Amino acid sequence: MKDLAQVEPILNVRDLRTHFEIKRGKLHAVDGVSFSVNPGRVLCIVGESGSGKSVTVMSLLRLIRRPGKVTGGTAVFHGDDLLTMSRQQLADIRGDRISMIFQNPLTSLNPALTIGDQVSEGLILHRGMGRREAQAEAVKLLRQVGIPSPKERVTDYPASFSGGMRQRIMIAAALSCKPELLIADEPTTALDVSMQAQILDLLKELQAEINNVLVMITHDLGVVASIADEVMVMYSGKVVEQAPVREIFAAPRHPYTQGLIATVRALDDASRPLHPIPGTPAIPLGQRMGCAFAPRCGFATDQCRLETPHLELVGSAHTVACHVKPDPDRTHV
Amino acid sequence: MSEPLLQVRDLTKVFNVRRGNAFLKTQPLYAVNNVSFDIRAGEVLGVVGESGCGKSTLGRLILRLLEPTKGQLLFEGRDLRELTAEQMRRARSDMQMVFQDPNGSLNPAMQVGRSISETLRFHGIGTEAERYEKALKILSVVGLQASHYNRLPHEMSGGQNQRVGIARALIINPKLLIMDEAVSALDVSVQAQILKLLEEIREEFHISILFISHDLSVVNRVSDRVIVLYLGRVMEIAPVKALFSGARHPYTRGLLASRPSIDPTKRVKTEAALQGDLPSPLSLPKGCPFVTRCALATDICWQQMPEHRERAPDWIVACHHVD
Repeated sequence: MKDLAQVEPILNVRDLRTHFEIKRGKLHAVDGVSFSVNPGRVLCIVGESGSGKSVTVMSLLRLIRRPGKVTGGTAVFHGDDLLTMSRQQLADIRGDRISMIFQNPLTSLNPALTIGDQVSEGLILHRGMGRREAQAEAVKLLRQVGIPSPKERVTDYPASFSGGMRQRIMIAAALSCKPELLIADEPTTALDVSMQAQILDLLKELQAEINNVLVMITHDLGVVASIADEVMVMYSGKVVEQAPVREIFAAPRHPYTQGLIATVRALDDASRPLHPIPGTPAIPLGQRMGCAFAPRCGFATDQCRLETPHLELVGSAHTVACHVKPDPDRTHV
Repeated sequence: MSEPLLQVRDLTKVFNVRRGNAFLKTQPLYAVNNVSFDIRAGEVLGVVGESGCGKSTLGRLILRLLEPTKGQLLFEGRDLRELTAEQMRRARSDMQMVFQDPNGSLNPAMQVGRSISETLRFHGIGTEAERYEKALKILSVVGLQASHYNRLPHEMSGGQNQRVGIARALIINPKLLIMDEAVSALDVSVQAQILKLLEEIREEFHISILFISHDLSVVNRVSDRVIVLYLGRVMEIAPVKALFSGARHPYTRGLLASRPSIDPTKRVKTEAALQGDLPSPLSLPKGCPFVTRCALATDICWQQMPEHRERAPDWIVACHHVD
């Protein structure tokens, strides 16, 4: 096996911090998040609503608007920091070497432009193609993502496509310049299960083909199990656990991850007892002390309530932020 | 076996939709098409299907929030469709609904405790003091505290508001609860809490639940029997264990095979997974609606809608190619 330390990560994020100034105080949506992704890998960022997973990737692409603000950290992409580079430099990268797919295929396409125009936009902008050449390329891309009779349909508007087809069009547009980094924010959440399976297969195939990095945000552990290489679990603005996919499902070490995995297992197999995590997700508001998960955690000690745990290595590529790190055997039956 | 609580017979709802130009003639859209089933006393009947299959319309038709085009709704033997508006209003105290969006379905300006007792007020049950007592009692049933009585919906989390939605439906002791994607908007950890609550409520109230959801795992968890709908038609009705271990209809099998496995060591793609997209509900094939995506399809499937036949006890399948 290749030594992992030798491979240069495509994206290296260190201590990213984004907060929102709201009436009730300072909301630490992203509170010191670090991760890196190597070429050809799929990283899934998992968490419940409000955990900071979407704000994390939006911060990387500098899509945060007031009252939000990125207040610290670095995000190095091929040696350049995305957070400090000039707007022009960033504009050259976005849509070309980094692109993004959003959750809602119904609203993220422009209803007044043909799908051909939208898929070819990046090629004209970043590759300097002429309109005709770009449209021909768009037909190829649309065929690749499984749009039937793309030559005839390239001049149609988004309204004449179903939700699943629109998400395929989004993917075609996002992949038009063969980005090294593709970020997908809940790309299948709005779709039916049959379409979800088809879109995940498509993303896997295309990712293997251009060997780029896919960072995918999801709340669905089934999606994680079927596509991820690495998994990063977020809770209340912080990373609580990070590990290769097989390891995190086989031996989760954070009580939150353990609870989530036990829950989806019980949903999958109705004969298992259901032991929900009590309480509701913590909102990262104001001054914070101790572990954010402590109020919901059955293992919490005084130390957990007072001291914030930091990520520690518990395996060759497995880190966890927990003072207790309970034995996974308890949940992995 | 005792008489079912609700017998649905040949229920049909046609919407007349105008496509594109306002001057064009309207076209009929069969949202629910000749659907028949029973809900038995004390059972949870799951309804699954993809978007556009008619599952939400079905829930609304039963409560007559939408008027059926055709068919019968026999609630304890009495046809709901023959009731006057006033009689229907009274009958609805036996049937309550819990909606998908916990925040949007509560009055934002009303204390949640009052929202809960409003059901009693509407039906003229008890004095104000009795209603207050009852609301406090039901709050504890759904896992909330008396201190929540005076809160406003925006002061509560989504999961808590969904508990309020359930409390509001239960306070009147309904015989039938219709839950339309009631846990779909919630986070996994909160979803599990509400499902656990449903398990407790079932034991305590001996209530029948029509549980509508697109989420197969959730339906598997809560249901006794399951109806599978596709483009307004019943494809299969079966006991939950039988369905999830050996579905017979090719659509059900495809649906189940499309679910992502939660085991990362098992990433094999199954042959049965559904391909393609739903056809337009405005131009359905004459025969079986699933024919355009079905691997087993033959000529007869294009020509004729298969009958709903009982293939095993309690197991109905509508397919020409299933014995």
